[in-house]
Amino acid sequence: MATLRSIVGLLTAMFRWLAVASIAAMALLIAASVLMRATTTPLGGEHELIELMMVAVVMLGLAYTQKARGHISIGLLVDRLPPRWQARLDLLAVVLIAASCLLIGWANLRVAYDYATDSPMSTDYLSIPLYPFKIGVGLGFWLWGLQAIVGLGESVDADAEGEHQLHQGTAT
Amino acid sequence: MNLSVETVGLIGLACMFVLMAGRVPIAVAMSVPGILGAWYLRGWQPMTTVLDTVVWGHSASYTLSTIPMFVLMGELIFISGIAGELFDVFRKCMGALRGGLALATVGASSIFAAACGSSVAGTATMGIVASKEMQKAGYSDTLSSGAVLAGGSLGILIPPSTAFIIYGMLTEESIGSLLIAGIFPGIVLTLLYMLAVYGAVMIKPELGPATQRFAWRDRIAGLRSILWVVVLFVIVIGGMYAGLFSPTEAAGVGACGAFVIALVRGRMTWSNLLVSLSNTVKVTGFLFAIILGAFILNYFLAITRLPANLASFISGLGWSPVAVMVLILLLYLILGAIMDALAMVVITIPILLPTVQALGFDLVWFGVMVVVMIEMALISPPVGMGCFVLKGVNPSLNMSSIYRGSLLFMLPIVVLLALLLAFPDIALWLPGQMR
Repeated sequence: MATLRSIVGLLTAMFRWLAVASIAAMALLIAASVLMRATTTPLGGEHELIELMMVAVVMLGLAYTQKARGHISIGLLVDRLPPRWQARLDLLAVVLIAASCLLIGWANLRVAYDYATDSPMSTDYLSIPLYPFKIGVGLGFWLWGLQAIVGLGESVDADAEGEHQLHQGTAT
Repeated sequence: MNLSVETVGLIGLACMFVLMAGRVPIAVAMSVPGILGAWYLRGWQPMTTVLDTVVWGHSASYTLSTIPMFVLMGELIFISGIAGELFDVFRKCMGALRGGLALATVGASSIFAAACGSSVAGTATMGIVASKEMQKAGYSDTLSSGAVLAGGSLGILIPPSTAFIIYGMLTEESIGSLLIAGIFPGIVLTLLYMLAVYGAVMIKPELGPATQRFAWRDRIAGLRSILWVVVLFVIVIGGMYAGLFSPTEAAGVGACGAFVIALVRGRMTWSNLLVSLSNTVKVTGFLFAIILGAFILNYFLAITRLPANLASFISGLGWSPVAVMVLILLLYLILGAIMDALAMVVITIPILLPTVQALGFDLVWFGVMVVVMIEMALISPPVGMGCFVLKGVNPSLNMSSIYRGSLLFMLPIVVLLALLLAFPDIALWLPGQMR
């Protein structure tokens, strides 16, 4: 489990920095294209680049958002339940996140395989192949699912550690 | 067992609400019934094709890149430290009045909202800057909390606003027109909030005592900080209004402009820049997870024909369009009190859209009504996100004061809704003049 945690942690960090770089590049590209259109000649192909950067920003950011507990959920009822029931419902949530991410990731990786082998697809203007980005979509969802599993493991460990310390404190 | 498609649709919706209540992330609570329902009604292969096309189609989108760009613009304006100075300017101008600091909070928030499209950022910023200042001046926690919450919520109505972009994506309405349509209602609501403060201190003067009076020279000296925001607003929204930029270009230019402002003001360090970019990635991540989840659910709902059947049913009742609209607003009022505002919109819009269209309402106008309802949901107890954000940045406030404060400022929102219902041109006149 510790190895899985460190691998997922490393990949999440790597994806986060790629997403950060993509956001910055997107802002600069949009501003540059406006400036170029107003002064000299339009850049051309910036729409395609921005669309692909958007894929990178969204998909590479999903796992980081999970790690930063950024995905919104409503705790109005569950927050009032006993901790044992809360833990069970959190487990259910993680199972559902992992299952849906696995499925969505698989659906996109299957298409990525088609694009890379049988029916190549690329952008219209710049002819950038789409399959690396489809792979990014698949991996982004899979990493989100893995991050949810690892996150649950971490919070269970933290609870166990807390209880252990509590018992030790009571014993001494 | 052979269930009708409508029954499957209703079961799917019920599952979604149960999962949401079970603290499952909203994005997943919408995706799971959508996936299972599409699998049941259409089969495995079409369902997996939908998962591919929906995810790709709504992430590889030039138009939707407006969202992260406006989020980044707000993050950069947040770190530029302008909010504190805005409050200071308004405090010097209005502080000597009874309830003046609350008026200053609302005024500063409305200007901040013109550069930052996030209600959460607006509430957090003013919560830090203004809330403690009002406590020190002897203001009641109810009035100070309400003013911060109300002011913060303006971020979602006054452009740039991510809520309008998401609504535009769901309804395929012009995002530029929607953003422009928010300007007048935003100004009217700011004035109504100020009127609410004035009314409250007239009835109970102890809620907000007058503070120090400043010389005119001091008041004018602070106007420089407003100038930054005004220039950015004119470039971003003015450029879009004049037809110089598309909404995406306006957002990208705005993000770069906000970077320059933070740089010139000496607030742009590497660590600040990385925090802003990382926060943008996080916000984009949760927003798009919800958007993708909503579209998966919507595909399923479209198969079940629930939205179309609802539209036929409501049209068949023979009620007046205004009565139906009031009913829709009441539905939003109830949903806003029990669920997240964004989830409320992405779930309900595809269901209600055929009804709204059948009744002949303008979809830009309806977008403004929906965003005003989101504002109310953001501050309404018990799940209004603004309430939790304010408590987070000022733990000395108790939740009951925050809730009482939010209730005080719901009245102006109701008045604005009534005005929009009676005079739709408040929202529609400005977009009608666009090039």
